[in-house]
Amino acid sequence: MIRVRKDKKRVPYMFMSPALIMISIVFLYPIISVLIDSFFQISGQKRTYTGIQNFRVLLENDLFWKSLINNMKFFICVPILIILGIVFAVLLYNRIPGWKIYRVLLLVPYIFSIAVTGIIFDCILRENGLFNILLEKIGLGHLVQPWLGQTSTAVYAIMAVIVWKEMGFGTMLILARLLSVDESMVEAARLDGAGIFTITRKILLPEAKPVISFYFVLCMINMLSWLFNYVYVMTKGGPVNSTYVMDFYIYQLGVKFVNYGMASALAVVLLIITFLLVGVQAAMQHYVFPDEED
Amino acid sequence: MKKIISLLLVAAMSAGLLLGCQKKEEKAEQGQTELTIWWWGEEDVPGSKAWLEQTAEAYEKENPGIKIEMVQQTSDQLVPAWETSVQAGAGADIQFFWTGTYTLMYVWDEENRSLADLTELIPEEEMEHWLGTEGVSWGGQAWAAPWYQVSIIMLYNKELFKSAGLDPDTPPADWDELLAACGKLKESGVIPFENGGMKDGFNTPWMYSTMGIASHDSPKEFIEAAVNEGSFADESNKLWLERLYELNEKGYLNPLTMSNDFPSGRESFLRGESAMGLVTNGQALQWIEDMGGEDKVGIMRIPAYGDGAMAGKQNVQSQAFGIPEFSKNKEEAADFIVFMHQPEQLKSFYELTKNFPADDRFDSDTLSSESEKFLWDYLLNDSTVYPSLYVPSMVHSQGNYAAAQMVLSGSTAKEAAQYVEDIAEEWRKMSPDECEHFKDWAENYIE
Repeated sequence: MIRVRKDKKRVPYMFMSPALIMISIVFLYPIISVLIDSFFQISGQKRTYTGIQNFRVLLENDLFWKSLINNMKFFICVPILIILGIVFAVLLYNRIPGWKIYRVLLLVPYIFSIAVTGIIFDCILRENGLFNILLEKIGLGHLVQPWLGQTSTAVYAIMAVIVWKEMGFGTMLILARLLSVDESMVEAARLDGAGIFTITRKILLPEAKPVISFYFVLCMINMLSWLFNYVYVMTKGGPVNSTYVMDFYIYQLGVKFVNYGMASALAVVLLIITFLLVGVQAAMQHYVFPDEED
Repeated sequence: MKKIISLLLVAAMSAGLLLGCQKKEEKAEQGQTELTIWWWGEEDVPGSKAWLEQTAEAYEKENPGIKIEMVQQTSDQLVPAWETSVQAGAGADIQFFWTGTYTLMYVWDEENRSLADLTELIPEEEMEHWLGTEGVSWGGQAWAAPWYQVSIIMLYNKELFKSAGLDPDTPPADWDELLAACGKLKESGVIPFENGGMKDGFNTPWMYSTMGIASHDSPKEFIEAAVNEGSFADESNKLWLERLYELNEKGYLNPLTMSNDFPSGRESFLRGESAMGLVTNGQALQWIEDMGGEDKVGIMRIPAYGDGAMAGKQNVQSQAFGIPEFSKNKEEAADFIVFMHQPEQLKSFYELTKNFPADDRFDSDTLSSESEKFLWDYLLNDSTVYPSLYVPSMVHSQGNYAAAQMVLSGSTAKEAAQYVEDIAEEWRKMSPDECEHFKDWAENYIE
């Protein structure tokens, strides 16, 4: 009898084992490899154990700090994406005239690949590009400049492109949550004379909080480890290395400069920061929205 | 029943996997050797893919026991794929290499060499014909076989020269003449010199290869600069930035240069908007044809931007093939490399690509136009190395790219040169092994 119970206990683990093995191969093995490599200087087939030297050098490296600060600058996109997402989701939820067209239009940029978006905006933001032509036409010719070609504006120009491309996703995410809100609550509020702002503030936003919190952390992680494509396509890290971000720097160190030890050390730093953010999200879920945990 | 079906499925999948793995071994058992080539080049030299396919086919006909498998790679795939194969000890039998540091880093550590010794595989009298072996040589011998030669040369628009009152048959030959010509061209309302868009920095190697060599006497000075503290900020390494600064300051470059990316910038020459422009040797011939022929567009020698022995020379890099140490088919790979260098293959390479193969057995009598003859003569008799392959890739990519962008954005050459030196200092800390090899390289460099 005891033996049968023991076997029964093993069954779930047996079912889980293929998935666990796959996860170990796909996630754990690379993470452990990168972690090990970060303590070595790797030159061709030669590997020299250097302890924490790679991390020490990295922390003294100006471009590492510039990349990290740039990642932080990209966090500016997060509140913008969230606010725009909420505003557009609420407008679509309230079925403003033409809402079906707006819903499609908002999602279109998200469908474009980043490479296509980057190339298009690269042309638009040139000194003789469409954006500057428009500025001239509306009498703002004094603002004309090479948006991606100067250190003072390049990072912010990339941010604008990211917001343009990504806001559709946030809008749809929040809208999907709003559409599952109990209609009778909104209807009751309307009957009680509540306007769109009151309904949004008192019903829709509290209902969408968990999704917004999830979207917040997703955006934060994206701004840390998912900017490579934009930077690679639009600026290649320039001008004057001003748009370096951490994932782009990892690529440069590993692929271009064939310095795998250093690239691994930077990847470990990025991983730690990302885990911290996931921890923040879990804490938020636990302390800010305890009711939603179940 | 379910259990049996599951077991059968798993067995079928495993068998499929094993069969896939066995394919190569089966070929070996059937007496056929599969040579795998990982290559790059179509982006650099259009037509090289067609040539490789044609050459492989011809070789397979002559050698029925060999099957050649070609794997084309992108610029971003090439190094990581090769690095992975080095770590895994398995990959191609013939591997493409950019030369300079990109090749030598795999041979300069004697105990951990990833490339086979070609002197044991290819007869010396064969290797003597190879051109541009400087970038693949270590310890007095070549470690890869140069395939083709690429150089950055200058075109000038004869009609725009005439309109500006300049002699279309006498393009500027040195810095003073270039400045004088640019002045007149600017007055005539055209862009004097299109250096290519600099937003992405990709034109930096071209500027470095034409201007950066001007104050140097030997490629050794580039290697030494990397390991000698403070050297990238000294006068000889700063000169190219001063020249670039002056051209920009005087309005002789495309004013949109920091806004344009590399290809879109260069095309202003093709559109007839700028009077001089940089281009690769193979593309030059195509552009001359596209722009109306040699009466309209000419090839000029690189002006001597300084007074070093390398000034005014044609910069040349040979792209090359090496044989990985782990290859099980080294002899067959070496034989195919020798085949690629046979006169018939050299001839067809030029016909298909309009690029010169890296072999002195190439029959220059087949060259018909004046431009082709000029380029071949310039390459054979008055050329030097492509300098960006002689500095650490990190210093070049983070330092030189940024420095060129700095001077084009208004910083002084001194500030920009100091920035390169700061990056070099970072490199010395980040890559101590590579730095040691550069010291060896500098000490043992053979002219």
